[in-house]
Amino acid sequence: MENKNNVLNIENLSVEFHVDGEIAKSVTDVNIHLAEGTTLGLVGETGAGKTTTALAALNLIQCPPGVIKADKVEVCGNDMLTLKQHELEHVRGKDISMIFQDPMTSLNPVFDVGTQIQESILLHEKLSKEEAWEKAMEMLELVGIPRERGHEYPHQFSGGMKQRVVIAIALACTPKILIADEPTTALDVTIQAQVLEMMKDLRDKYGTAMIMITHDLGIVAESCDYVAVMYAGRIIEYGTLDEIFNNTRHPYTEGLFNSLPNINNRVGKLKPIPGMMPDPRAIPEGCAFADRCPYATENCTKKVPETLKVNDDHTVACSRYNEPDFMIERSKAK
Amino acid sequence: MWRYIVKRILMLIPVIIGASLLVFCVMNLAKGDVVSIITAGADMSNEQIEAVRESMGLNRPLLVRYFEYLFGLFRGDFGKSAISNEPVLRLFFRRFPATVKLAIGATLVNVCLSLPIGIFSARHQGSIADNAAMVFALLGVSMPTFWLGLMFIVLFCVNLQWFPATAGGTDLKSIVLPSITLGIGMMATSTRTTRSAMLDVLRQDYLRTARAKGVPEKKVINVHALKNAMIPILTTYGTQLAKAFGGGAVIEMVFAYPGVGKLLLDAINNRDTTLACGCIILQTTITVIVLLGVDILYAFVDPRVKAQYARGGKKK
Repeated sequence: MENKNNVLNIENLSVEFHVDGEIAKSVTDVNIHLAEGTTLGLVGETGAGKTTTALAALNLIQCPPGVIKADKVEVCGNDMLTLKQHELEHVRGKDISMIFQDPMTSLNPVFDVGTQIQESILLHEKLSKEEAWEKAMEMLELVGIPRERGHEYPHQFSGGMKQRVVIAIALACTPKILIADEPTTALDVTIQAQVLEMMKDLRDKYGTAMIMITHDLGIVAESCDYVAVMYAGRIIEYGTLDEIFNNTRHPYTEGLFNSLPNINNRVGKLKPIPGMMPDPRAIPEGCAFADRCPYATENCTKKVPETLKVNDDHTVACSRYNEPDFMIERSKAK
Repeated sequence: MWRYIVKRILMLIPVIIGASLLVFCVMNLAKGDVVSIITAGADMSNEQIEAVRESMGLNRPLLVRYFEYLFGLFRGDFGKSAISNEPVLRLFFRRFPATVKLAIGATLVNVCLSLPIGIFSARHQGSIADNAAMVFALLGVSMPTFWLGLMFIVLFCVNLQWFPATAGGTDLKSIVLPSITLGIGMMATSTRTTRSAMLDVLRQDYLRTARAKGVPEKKVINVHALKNAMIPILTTYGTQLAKAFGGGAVIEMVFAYPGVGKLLLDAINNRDTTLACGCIILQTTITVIVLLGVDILYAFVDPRVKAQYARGGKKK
């Protein structure tokens, strides 16, 4: 948790969007602490607020319509919410960078890919144009694209290669924090594995702290040290990989695991979580998950559950957790 | 790319044939001919007038005269003006530099106003400043150029006496007012184009990528966004420039500006078919060349268009 070596500290972050007189609460009271060289998996359904949380860390949310409130959003000691514009520009891309979800639209179509990588290097490192280009070409080779293609434009690349270019841009200045927003969703399975492998290599090489945003628990199991499960804008369970996978405490996390197909037991039916995530413009009172939760009682709809400590490495936000004989199915089975 | 350019230039031929035929027919339909203009007021008998007509070859059928003209045209002979007896080409290119100056001046005014205002409006969409800019643009579209020109003359030439009221077309001072008048007329359209093109681009994900890299906001807008918005903007500027090269007849009349627009107008009034036809053909050619230039510029702005040209495909 809070620690002097943390490269990223986010405390009580809330993000709202005010559109046409309605308020959409996208993120509520989120706390994230990330130490050097560790990887956090940010898991949840589409619309849980994962990407918004990440964008808030870079202070990249359009305000208006967005409104960011937080006690602290600190990147390598810089308070992102109070920095001046030019200081922010100095932190973005150098201390913290982000791999965006959709490679098809994340690259500028009118500049060649080499220039797009080089630009980042020129901005943050004191290199001549030639040296920066040389480094950009090295980055390109690092992600497995021959340097001869540096002068080509995004439309000449396949989706997987574009994603690798996006990764090369994000890594060009060896940031201390890398946020990867579903870096593999747009890719073929074969390329997925390559990209993940590459990111792991880079983390080992440079000690980069990473936030891996995904809804794929397989990727989390493979690459993360910590896991934060988000639902309707809140982190509802947080802990080490081992704790979350083997000592699951929140009914929603259990639901996520139950939704996974099991290759060894194809007889049993999948158990998807019934219902839909609430509309961020009308999040119900009490626990937002209550109406989909098989364990919910009347009490659950009255009060927003507090974040409770399971042990030093694990917290959960469930109102029933403190009931003496309450236990979700997944834990009982053990 | 070269194939594309040659194809476009060859397409000029049918356009020239069509345009010249149209001018010949319309001029023929108009009341009176060049002889009646020349001999107006002169004390001549009908036989004498008819003799002048015959000596100029004007009593032959329309189609005969047309094909004779067309035949000359394809040998590069634009003929002579019936009034001054000077070669059409010489008359046209004597006036053309003044028109070019006006066109460039107006385009400068146009670009310098529409680009910043359009970008600003797009960035502050819905703000008071944006609305004010759009009302200004609307005014620009709805205001007739001749009226604006006259108002400028009243204000700057008559009352303030800053500029000469009738333009010589040679010194810089005489170009200023016509350029501003024409430029403001153009600006209204191009500001709107710039604004809407920028609005489209400002929502794109790649701008977020640029910001996440730490690219300064100014550069995000003026380089990353603007280059993507450039195609519709260039198209507007190109069309306007081509039009201005053709000579803004109204502006040239208002300011008594000696450009090709006025030359054409005089030729029509004098029923000088050869000169009118020559002017229109030359203006058409210049318009096509300017538009072609804009099309070629696309390729430098957008690599995807370049790829299309290289494949010999049609323009976007």
